[in-house]
Amino acid sequence: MTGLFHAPVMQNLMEQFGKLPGVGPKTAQRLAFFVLSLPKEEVAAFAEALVQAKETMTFCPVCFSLTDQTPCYVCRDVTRDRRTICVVEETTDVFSIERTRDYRGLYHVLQGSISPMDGRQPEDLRIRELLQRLESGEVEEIILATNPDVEGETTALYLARLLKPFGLRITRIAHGIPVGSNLEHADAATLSQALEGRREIGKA
Amino acid sequence: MLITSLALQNYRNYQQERCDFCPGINLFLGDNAQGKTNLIEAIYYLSIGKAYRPVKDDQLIYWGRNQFTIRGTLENRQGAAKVEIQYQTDEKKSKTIKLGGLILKKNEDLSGCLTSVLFSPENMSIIKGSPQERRHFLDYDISQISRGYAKNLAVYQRLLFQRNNLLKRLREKKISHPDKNSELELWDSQLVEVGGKIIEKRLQTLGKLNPLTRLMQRKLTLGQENIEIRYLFNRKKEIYHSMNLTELLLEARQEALEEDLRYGTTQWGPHRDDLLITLNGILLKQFGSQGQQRTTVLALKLAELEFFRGESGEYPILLLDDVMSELDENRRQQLLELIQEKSIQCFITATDKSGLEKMEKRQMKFFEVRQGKIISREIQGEVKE
Ligand SMILES: Nc1ncnc2c1ncn2[C@@H]1O[C@H](COP(=O)(O)OP(=O)(O)OP(=O)(O)O)[C@@H](O)[C@H]1O
Ligand SMILES: [Mg+2]
Ligand SMILES: [Zn+2]
Repeated sequence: MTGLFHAPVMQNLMEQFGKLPGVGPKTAQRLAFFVLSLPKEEVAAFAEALVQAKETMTFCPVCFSLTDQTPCYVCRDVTRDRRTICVVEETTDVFSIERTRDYRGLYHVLQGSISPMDGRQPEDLRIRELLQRLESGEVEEIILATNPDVEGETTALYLARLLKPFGLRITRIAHGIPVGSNLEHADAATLSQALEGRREIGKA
Repeated sequence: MLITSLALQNYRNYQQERCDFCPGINLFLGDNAQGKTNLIEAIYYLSIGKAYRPVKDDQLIYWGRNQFTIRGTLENRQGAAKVEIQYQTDEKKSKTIKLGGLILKKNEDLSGCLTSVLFSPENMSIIKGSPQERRHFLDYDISQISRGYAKNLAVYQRLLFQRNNLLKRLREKKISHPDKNSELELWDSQLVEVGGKIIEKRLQTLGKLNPLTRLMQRKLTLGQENIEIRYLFNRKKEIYHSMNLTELLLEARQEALEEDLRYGTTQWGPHRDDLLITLNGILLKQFGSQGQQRTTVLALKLAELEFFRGESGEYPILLLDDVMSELDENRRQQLLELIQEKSIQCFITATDKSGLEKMEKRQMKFFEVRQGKIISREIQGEVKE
């Protein structure tokens, strides 16, 4: 059990920690007391880091990923293929795809997915901005890389319909068994999905 | 399929117990409130990784302790494996399932190893309860044999939840009807697609369960009672496998659109369907006697048994909790005959063994359950099997 009574400053600190994703009251209490055990300089550096990150990071005016320079390093990179845009939900998804080093096109971060339960409608996403990027006529392919959950699929479906009149190549990333892990280690739901999304092979 | 041994630690009223089962009929005898149902529940838990009763795992822990463990050895045609399920409430509540010593990444993956069919007095809700109880019965069966179906159900629930949220938002919004319609359409095209798949699989399964149930009911009642199960779309319209489900769903959507927007909930789709069960042409829920209803649930369960065998090639284990009460002598006799005919492993609870000892065609093992202790008694019948 977490204690019920705390000095107001501690109560406040715990409440702040409690705002972090995945942090419950118990962990918030532990974190709060941990902060007290740190040397003062470290606590100051910690607080400073929070504020600085918030002040420095902005959204890239082109692709809307979080960045410390405008435009972001991808958008300013002249060697990237400007004919392809990969649409993702969050900046962290950009990092994931960047790690593969296989993708040389551009990104567009929607900043979320369509989700009525969270009050997010299409107009709350960076969709208008995506359409504006298409006006130049440079773009030939859109890769829809939203999450494979219900909201991500719905967002992909919405975009696919919306973009259809543009006559672009529109693709959706495949989901299934992670490479490097073999069938033995895949859970049944993933396997079942992979089976459903199977494709023909060996045909000319 | 078989469970050859079971060990319980701090599970319900069992502190530390273990026992070996026979591949035939295992009989748990004991007075009221001694732990017979708890034992059936533990075996069921071992077979699918969760409890059948709507109980929290916390309630399964022996009072005052902070963890329970169920261990057992399972056998199917692929071989034997040790299963260990542990639930603890120490730091963070957590459940770990080990199969053959390896921790399962997803607890649901246990369900592919062993299937069980359970009859408990609570199953009477299949007849007496709400449409949800009947859908759940069917959905459980299909989920056991198809993980794709289980996934579709989960996706459908999520889509539905999102749509209902959207409906409530649209209700407040001052926009034209066609605009509302087009916002909903994004979700509805998916609901129709996934919903159609769900209904199709249900109809297909019912097509197999229906004749099996009829056969079992006729056997149990010496041909006196004929059961018929029909699938009711939107609780009112009987539908068949050959129908165009997409069309049906789209039509229902169109019809309900006004109401949906008014109430903020979705009034059509597989979550609104029901099963209509009739006995000799009469609605069982309203006019069936206690014994008739009980017999029907039993027939459904025995049909389930055959259904699983048809789908997987192996008989599941059969768990019968408190099955004998409310059945007359004839029906009891027929039930025991039916059980003995099949080469299944069966677990039966009863307060005394009168009538049950006559099952001479199969090997039988008696267990006495008394205040959370299991005492193995005599084995009856040949040991081979
Ligand atoms: N978490 C728990 N810890 C300890 N004891 C429990 C726990 N949960 C239930 N019990 C006890 O288990 C007993 C009930 O066992 P169970 O339901 O298996 O009885 P039964 O033998 O099936 O009886 P009946 O013949 O009446 O159906 C109750 O007396 C109850 O107090
Ligand atoms: Mg009982
Ligand atoms: Zn950018």
